[in-house]
Amino acid sequence: MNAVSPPSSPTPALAGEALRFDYVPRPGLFKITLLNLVLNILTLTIYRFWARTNVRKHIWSCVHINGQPLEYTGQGIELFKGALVVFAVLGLPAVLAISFVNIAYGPEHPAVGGIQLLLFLIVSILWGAAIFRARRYQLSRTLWRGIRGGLEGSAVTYSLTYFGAMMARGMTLGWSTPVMNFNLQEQIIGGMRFGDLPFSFKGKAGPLYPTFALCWFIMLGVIIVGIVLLGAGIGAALGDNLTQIFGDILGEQEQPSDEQAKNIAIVIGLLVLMFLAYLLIYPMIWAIYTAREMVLFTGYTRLGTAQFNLRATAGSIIMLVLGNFLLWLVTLGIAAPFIQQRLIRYFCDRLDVTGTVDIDKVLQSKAPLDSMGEGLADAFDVGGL
Amino acid sequence: MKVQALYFDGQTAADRQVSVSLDAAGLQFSGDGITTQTWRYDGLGMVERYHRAHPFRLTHTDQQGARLILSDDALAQELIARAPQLKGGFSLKGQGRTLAWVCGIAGSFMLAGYLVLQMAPQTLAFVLPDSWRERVGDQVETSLTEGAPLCTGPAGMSALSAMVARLADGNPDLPPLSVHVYNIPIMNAFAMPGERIVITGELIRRANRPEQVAGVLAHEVGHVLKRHSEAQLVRATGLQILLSVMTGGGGDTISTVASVATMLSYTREAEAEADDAGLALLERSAIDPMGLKEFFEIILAEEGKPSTGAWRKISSAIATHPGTEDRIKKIHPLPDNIAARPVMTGDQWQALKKICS
Ligand SMILES: [Zn+2]
Repeated sequence: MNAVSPPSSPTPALAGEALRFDYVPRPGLFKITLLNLVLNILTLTIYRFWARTNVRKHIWSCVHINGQPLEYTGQGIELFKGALVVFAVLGLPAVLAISFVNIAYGPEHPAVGGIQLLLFLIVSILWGAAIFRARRYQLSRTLWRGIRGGLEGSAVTYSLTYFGAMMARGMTLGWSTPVMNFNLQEQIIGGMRFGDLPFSFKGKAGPLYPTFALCWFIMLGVIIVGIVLLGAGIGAALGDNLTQIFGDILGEQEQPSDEQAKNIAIVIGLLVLMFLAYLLIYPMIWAIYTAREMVLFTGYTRLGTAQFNLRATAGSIIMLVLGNFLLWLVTLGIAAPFIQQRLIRYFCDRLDVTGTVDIDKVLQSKAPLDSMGEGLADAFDVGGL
Repeated sequence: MKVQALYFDGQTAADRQVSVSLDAAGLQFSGDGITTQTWRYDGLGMVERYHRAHPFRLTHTDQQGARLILSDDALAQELIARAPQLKGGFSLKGQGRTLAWVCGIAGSFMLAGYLVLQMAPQTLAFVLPDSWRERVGDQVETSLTEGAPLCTGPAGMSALSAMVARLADGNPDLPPLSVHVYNIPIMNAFAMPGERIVITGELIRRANRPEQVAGVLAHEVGHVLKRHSEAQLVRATGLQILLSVMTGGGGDTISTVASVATMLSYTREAEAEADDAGLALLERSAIDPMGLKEFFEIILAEEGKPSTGAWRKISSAIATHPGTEDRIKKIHPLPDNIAARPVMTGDQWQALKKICS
């Protein structure tokens, strides 16, 4: 190890560099995707940890900041070890318990429901920890200019906050979402490090509320209109038979006549149609809020004196998500690496940084590297990068 | 030859211009504020394979996080010649190790799978508590017969009991059996956990004499004695657990345990075992085993006919009874010193034939 003397001619006029993000695509992702698919099949999906690593290596290396690419230094075996531990501690006992109760007492026994409820609770409580630990692993395996990232803070705190946020969302009809999302994001961004340089997250959740209220009331309106339309549709289609039909549905008559069956089919058809329309409209309305949240949260993010700005719009998010969904659908999920690439690219293309970071002064992270990665995230199939 | 390169020392994020040269000891570089340093060739690694006209990013085992970025193609090629591990492509040290890991892991899962699926089930089948076997058997019977009517003609039922009793009189160790006939339009018979046997009405209708039904019954009792269906249950559960371990999916596993048809279709070895056990039962009870042979011949005539309709799932189970011809060859008449005695009276046989009507 050689001694590093400080640069002999520091430039005091410029207290650092501005940051510029570019996504520089290069060939090879298709080959990786194909090879991963083949090896995944040959190894009965065990290769998935290495597959994921290969994809990350490629995508990371396409992200250039000020001309220098990111580097992903994670290894498949680390992901595998993590998954193995989680499965030994959590998954296997769960599977064995359910199998045991099923064989010993039968699938209708209340103990089966009890165990499933317990599992659901455990998974819900650990979900946040899965996200946090996966993020920490990925950051600690991300190198830029030889310096790795990191995430400080407590996975337990994050996990409890996450669980609390889920409960609160239900109890407040969603109105807790902005403030809880703010809190969660604060824990992640506030804990992020580049080497020894911390990110910071400063702002308020309040400015999210006007947009949230807008989306919430539009959604309410859509639901009311939907119900009215549904009622009108059923009324128009069936006329006077209406009360009789509900009597039929509720009364569960043994053998409905042909006409009754037809009427019930119309009601069910309308309900399904309504549900499909809802599935399409819901994400589009909430994309307005999501865009606002992303813009605001990115604006709250600082590294040194540099401040981040994201040019996200509801329209572009809808296009991104729709495109990814279609890509996923058409290729039966095989194109997942390209979906990931599109996501990262969206951020790179729309991220601006004002102010500067004194990059040369950043020192290597001293946080220890955990030898295992993302076990929980793999077990729960937590989405993300 | 000295060329310029970019250097990150892994301690700070500062980039430094260095001039690089290659000598016998290794790759040597120095620059403004950096004393001359040598990276041995054998410790060199790369972030990615070398591509012409692309920056070649080097690492070194002695200096975690440090990166040297060469942009000079001539030097890069010269370096690769001296440090062959930088050539990339398939190498035993690189991808070979990954491959070894993955294959090792997949191999150990398969070994575990083999042990679980081949060795354990037959053993575990004999330690499952009776109450479990009874309950699972009940479940299997319900889902297999899918609401088909149970045949309960009183005279036929007593004829059936007589047949079971007839089989038991040469075999006093036989456990109590529950034998049901269901009106299912497919010719088949099944052994299930908990000493249960289901015979289809079609099988009885198509049989020409009681010895044929008795032969089939003896074969199924063979499955019961060897606990083949219990073993299949353990096997199916084990397979599910194994698959969920491998693919990382937890949660809802057993819901599909025992798609019944797969559970009740046995291997060639199990069928041979059941045949042997059944033939032994028949011999001890002095029942003509040629009935079983005749029944197999009826099946043989059926084979190849496409099956259709609601009971397709079940009839596929009969198709998996393997090597019917071979099994026929193993059936011989009773030895000369044993005289075959009838299974039941003619009246009883007529009653049994009408059990479903
Ligand atoms: Zn058999």
